[in-house]
Amino acid sequence: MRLIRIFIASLARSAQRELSHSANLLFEGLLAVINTLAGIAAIAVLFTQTESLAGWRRESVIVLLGAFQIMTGLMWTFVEPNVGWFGGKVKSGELDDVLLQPVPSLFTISLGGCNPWALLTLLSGIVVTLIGVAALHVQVTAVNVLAFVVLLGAGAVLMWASRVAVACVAFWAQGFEPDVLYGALCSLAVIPRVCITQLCSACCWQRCRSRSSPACPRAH
Amino acid sequence: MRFIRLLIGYVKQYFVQWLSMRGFTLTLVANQAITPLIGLAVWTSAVPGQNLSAYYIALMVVRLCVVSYEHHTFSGSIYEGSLADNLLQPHPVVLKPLSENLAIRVWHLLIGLPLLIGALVFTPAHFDATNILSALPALVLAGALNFLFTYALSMSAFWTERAHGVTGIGTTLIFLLGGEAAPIRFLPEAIRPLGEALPFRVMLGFPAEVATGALSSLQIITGYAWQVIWLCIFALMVLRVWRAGLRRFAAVGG
Repeated sequence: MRLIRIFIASLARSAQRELSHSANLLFEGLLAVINTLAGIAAIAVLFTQTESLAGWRRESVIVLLGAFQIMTGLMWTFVEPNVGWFGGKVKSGELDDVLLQPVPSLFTISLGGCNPWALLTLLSGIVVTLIGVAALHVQVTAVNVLAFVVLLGAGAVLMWASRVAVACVAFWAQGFEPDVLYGALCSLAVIPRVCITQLCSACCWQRCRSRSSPACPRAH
Repeated sequence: MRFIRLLIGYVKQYFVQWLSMRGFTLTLVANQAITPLIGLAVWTSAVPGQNLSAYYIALMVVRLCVVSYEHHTFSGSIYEGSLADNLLQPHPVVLKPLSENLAIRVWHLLIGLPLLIGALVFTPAHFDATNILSALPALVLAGALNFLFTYALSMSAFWTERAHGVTGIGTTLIFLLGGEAAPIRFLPEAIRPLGEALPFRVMLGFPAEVATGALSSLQIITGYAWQVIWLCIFALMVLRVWRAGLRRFAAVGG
């Protein structure tokens, strides 16, 4: 309970600090809209060439994009502003302050502040998800919504834990800043997993075919 | 001649400087390489009959050769005020950002080389030497275009704290219309001519298309013409933004 109070207080403080630069709101909003439109446009172009992507319809991929944006928004609002460039904090001794505070250090280093502008990405993700669900023409029940929220929550916890674990590598390798790499790996989440499997099998098949290998499973 | 000598000197200096950040550079290379791999995965699933691996591998190499991080390096010098030092030095201000850019590209290429070899081994991609030679000037011009584009956008730091975001908008446009989200030939017919005329394709996708032999001679000549036209436009844009931005720049202390 105490941690929740501290969490809310630190969020309020970060929000107050950031919102004093209100001109940035317009700019960040524009950026979120452009990124969202770019994502939808990329999907639209993709589905001019195919009816389905590894079994996923256009509407389903839009929902996937929305879910990805929600997770990215959560990450960039609550986690990334704290654990970003963690190696530098360890090296500069900034972490010592955190260790001396009467609050669990893991909580402070991973959830001690926030970037309220990133909530715009989260909001755009919710809008995109709703657009995708509306286009799917499926009956949405309370159980579906609850399952979606629970899965998003589970995903958020996994993401928080993995991000913090990756940041902690800095204790042993201070020169290694994994922030960019983690972001790049996360971007893989925007494509249906089946695509990667299909890519691997397609590469194997085409390579076998180009070499006329008798070992190729599809050659027979 | 003096400019070239200074450029080489600074490139060497930044190359050594970035050696100390090799772990971080490795993550930057991974970041640059992952988007073409996503494109390859998605498009291989979407249009299974077409062999797109050569295009996306070429695109990955182009990305590594034309990376520009002026929104971090040059914008940072504006925010910190260290640009003031640079202004007092007896050479054009662009020399240092350009040298750092070239040094970073060399590092990207060196670190990305094993990745390229791996991609060539594990995919059926095949390249023709003539096509690669035809693509080299396009690659150099694309590198120049990317530098000028990012450099111009990074100068938004003279006006706003969100130079990173301004450059992000440019990066999004390159992703969408540069042949990364979709090879230009897959764009709907209505917008394909626009995609070919805008600068984003010649900044990224065009050298990859030439390297894979996907274009006719006329298309290659047209592409080169667009590159030269956009290079002139970007150079003028950089000059104008620089002059306007410099009037706003102020730094105190030391």
